[in-house]
Amino acid sequence: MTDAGQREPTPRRPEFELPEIVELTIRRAPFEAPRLRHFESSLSRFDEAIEFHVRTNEPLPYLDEPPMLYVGETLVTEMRGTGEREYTFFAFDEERLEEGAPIAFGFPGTPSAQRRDSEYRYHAPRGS
Amino acid sequence: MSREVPREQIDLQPNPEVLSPPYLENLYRCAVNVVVHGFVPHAELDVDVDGTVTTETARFPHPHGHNMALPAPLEAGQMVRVRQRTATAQSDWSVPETVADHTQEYPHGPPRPVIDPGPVYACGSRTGVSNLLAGGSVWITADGGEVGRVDGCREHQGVNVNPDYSLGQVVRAHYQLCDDPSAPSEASTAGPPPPLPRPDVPDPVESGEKLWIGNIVNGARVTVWRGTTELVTYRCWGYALEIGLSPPFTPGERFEAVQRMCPSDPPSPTGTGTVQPCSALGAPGVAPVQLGDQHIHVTDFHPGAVIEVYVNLVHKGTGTAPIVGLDDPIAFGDVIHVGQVVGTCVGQTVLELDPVCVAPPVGRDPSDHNIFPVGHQEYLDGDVHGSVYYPAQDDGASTPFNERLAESGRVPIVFLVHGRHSPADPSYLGYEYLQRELARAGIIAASVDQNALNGDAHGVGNIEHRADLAIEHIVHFQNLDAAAGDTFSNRIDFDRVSLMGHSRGGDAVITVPTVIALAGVRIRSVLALAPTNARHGAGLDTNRPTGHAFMTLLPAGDGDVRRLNGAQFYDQATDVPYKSQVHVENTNHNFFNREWLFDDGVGGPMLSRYEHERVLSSYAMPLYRESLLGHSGMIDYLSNHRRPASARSDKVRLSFGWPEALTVDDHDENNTIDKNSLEGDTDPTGLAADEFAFHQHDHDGLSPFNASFFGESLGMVAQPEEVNGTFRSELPDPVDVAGQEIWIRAAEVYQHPLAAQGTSFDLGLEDGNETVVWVSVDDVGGLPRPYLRRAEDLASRHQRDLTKTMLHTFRFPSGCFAARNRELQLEEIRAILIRLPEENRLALAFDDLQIVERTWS
Repeated sequence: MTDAGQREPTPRRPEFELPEIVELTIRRAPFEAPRLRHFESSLSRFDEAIEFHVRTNEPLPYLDEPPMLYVGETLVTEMRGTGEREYTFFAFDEERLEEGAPIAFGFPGTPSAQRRDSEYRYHAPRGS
Repeated sequence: MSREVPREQIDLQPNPEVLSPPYLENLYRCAVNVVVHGFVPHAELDVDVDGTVTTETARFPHPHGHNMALPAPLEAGQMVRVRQRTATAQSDWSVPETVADHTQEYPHGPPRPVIDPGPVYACGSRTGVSNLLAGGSVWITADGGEVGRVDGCREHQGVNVNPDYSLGQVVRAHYQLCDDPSAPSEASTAGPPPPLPRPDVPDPVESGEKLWIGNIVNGARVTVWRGTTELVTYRCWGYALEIGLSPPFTPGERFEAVQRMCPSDPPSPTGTGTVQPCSALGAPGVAPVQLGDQHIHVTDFHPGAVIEVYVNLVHKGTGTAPIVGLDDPIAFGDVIHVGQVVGTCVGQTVLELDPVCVAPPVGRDPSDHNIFPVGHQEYLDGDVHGSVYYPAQDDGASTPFNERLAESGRVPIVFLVHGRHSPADPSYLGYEYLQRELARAGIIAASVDQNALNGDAHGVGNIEHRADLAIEHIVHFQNLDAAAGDTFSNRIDFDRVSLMGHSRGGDAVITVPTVIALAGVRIRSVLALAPTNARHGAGLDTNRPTGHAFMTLLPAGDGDVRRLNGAQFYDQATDVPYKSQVHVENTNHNFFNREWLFDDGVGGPMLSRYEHERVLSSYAMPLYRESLLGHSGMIDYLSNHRRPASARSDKVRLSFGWPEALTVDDHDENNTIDKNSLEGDTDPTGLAADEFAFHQHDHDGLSPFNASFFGESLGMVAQPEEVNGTFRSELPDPVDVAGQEIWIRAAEVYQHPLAAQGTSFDLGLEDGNETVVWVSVDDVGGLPRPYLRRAEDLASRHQRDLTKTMLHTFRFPSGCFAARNRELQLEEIRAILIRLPEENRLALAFDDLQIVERTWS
């Protein structure tokens, strides 16, 4: 009698939680584009950025598309890790950052209701 | 398009004078035999070699045809044909085949033999060897000494070995044709034999002469009893044994079988089968039949069965599986019945089939071009670290480069770039299976370790870093190529470079051709597997693949790159030799990389990891073999003219762009719905049609129809207002479409809740006499339903339904229109029409209406 068998399930990837922003500072700062060996970064046209220094309660998950920072409806995707659970996000188009907009973590393309809000709101940093 | 029907309900009159021609395995110079297939049991076979006829009486066509010795070895250019004869009929001659010179097809030596099945075991007495050219010599060595040989082999040949294998012996298969040896097979070390399972003896039917016995261990000896009479003992290469017996079986007879390996070990339990009456014999299985086919492809049949084919109730073919030839091509409206006969038993049911316009035949495994042994190395130079697989003198770490291949010139190279994953995992090792397949085919394959960039970084900068590191690996291999004494010294052809990238690596390899400035490097093709699109996320223009062949593979159940950004690159690719989109249902993000363990898939059970790998290999290898080696026939796999035997093509939805097509409407001109791309007028009647952004946001001034579009182009959405509403697209000048195909990309628009029933559309051609002929999409493959992933998406942290409207390319051969109405003048087509015949009012998305001549090789 042949047994049709039952497939052993592959372990599911654990569902990731959206991290909580526990600390955030915003500043306008000189921006240094990545130094590449073989071509000039397309970011080299920017010499200044609005920096969002974020500390989270959990590390961002190892995904190719991890959650990113929303400032209102503007998604800020340029990011570098700066320490354990510390990240700096760079926004280059200041005009798209709405004064007083809520700051949240969310997966790209998700509506505001599905993001994890923080207590922080965007206020343009002083200085040119 | 097929159904099983009782034979007694149909007036099928067998004609004993009908007999289909048999056929031959590929013919090569120096072959001392030919292998004949498709004949009926006990037929007399005539083989004609340039007028010299050799005759033999065959026994059974299965499992491996009749091996017929020739009076003299074949010579290149000779014409060979075959026919069969029974007591009541003689077939026509087969279409003559020309004897080839294998060095034209295999300039670096014959294909490498494969021990198949493997592995071998101690006490094994027989070994199967595949990947052979029929007519050559195959032999087996154990620890270097020859233990078995067959001169004049089949494509898959069993070789008895004497003495039996001993534990730990290193076994290899060898092959040569015309004194031209192939590389030896991979080594198989004889391990201890496994516990012997009970042989599987399925019940045969009465009057049959073939007994199939399964569950056989590699190399076992199988002893068969008929009733209480011990018949004989057979050696078997494993898996299954099919033997011919006489006299024919009678109902209730009992067969028993046991298998043995080492004499000192007990035999297996006894397997038993009992002969069943004729009433147990049903219909065979048959692959879909295309209009114009001149054969039937049988996929499932009783051992020893003769296959009968009836067209419009007239007996047209008699032969054996898998191919039964017919005198005339299958025409529109034909009704086909296929039945099987075992001895005097006639199957109680037959399979009834309607031919369709497009049912691509299954071709060979395009990933299995197995010519060279495979060497491999890790390489490390500063931050340049990876693994490379290459055609070598023999298998193993750091073995020398293949001398025979090197003598004929430099060798192309593919760089593979993984994506973001835990830096603790060696992601670059995850594509070893594809690297090996590339190397076997004669392509160097380097996998780039990008873990240094897998920390906390995201965005365009990270992708550019990845692209920069990939380019640095190209530089590294340029240096190795230029160095003296290295494995790769003067070996690499940088004019033939291709890339493959997964996830962020896919984004990176799309970036590389847009920025690379290395002298002498030419990118021929790029494969983006589940790529991200960081530039799009940052509000920048999507990189356009340009100047190289492009493929993106999109796992429909991707739980990481959930928006399937690769569709954006497909839409944006311009000025490419061709572009291909492979959208695969029930596949996830991770299973293409062996180091990425978790199942992230959404939308139903995922295919197994092995099936993921087979999909990638079966579509990637045609891309690389075509673009780097110039192999013909490969594009057929990407354009849906042929399906790879090696992958779950039932899960694959293809889009394909061929630049030499005449584009009737791709909507990207944004010249309103009223005009097509040829500036011809359009005319909707009984349906609502307009142009929309096939994108998540407004695009080129147009808005999306709804949120289910994830590409980056403009297209048309049509929604029926009445049954048989039409959309007519005028051709300003008449077009001769004879011998060409009409292509259109189409999809059911996803809307929640998903309608219980899907929908379809018809494509119409209108000639100068206003004759309009319609062909349904159901006749060219059918419109798939959206891949539903709503429940799992909503349950995830994304909390958004990411079910997509994903367009695919449908081919409508112009001959299908002419077959329906001979008055249609294909030479003077004035308009192409879309008709929505359904009443359920589902919206349909369309794009890229084209007239395509199949000009590829």
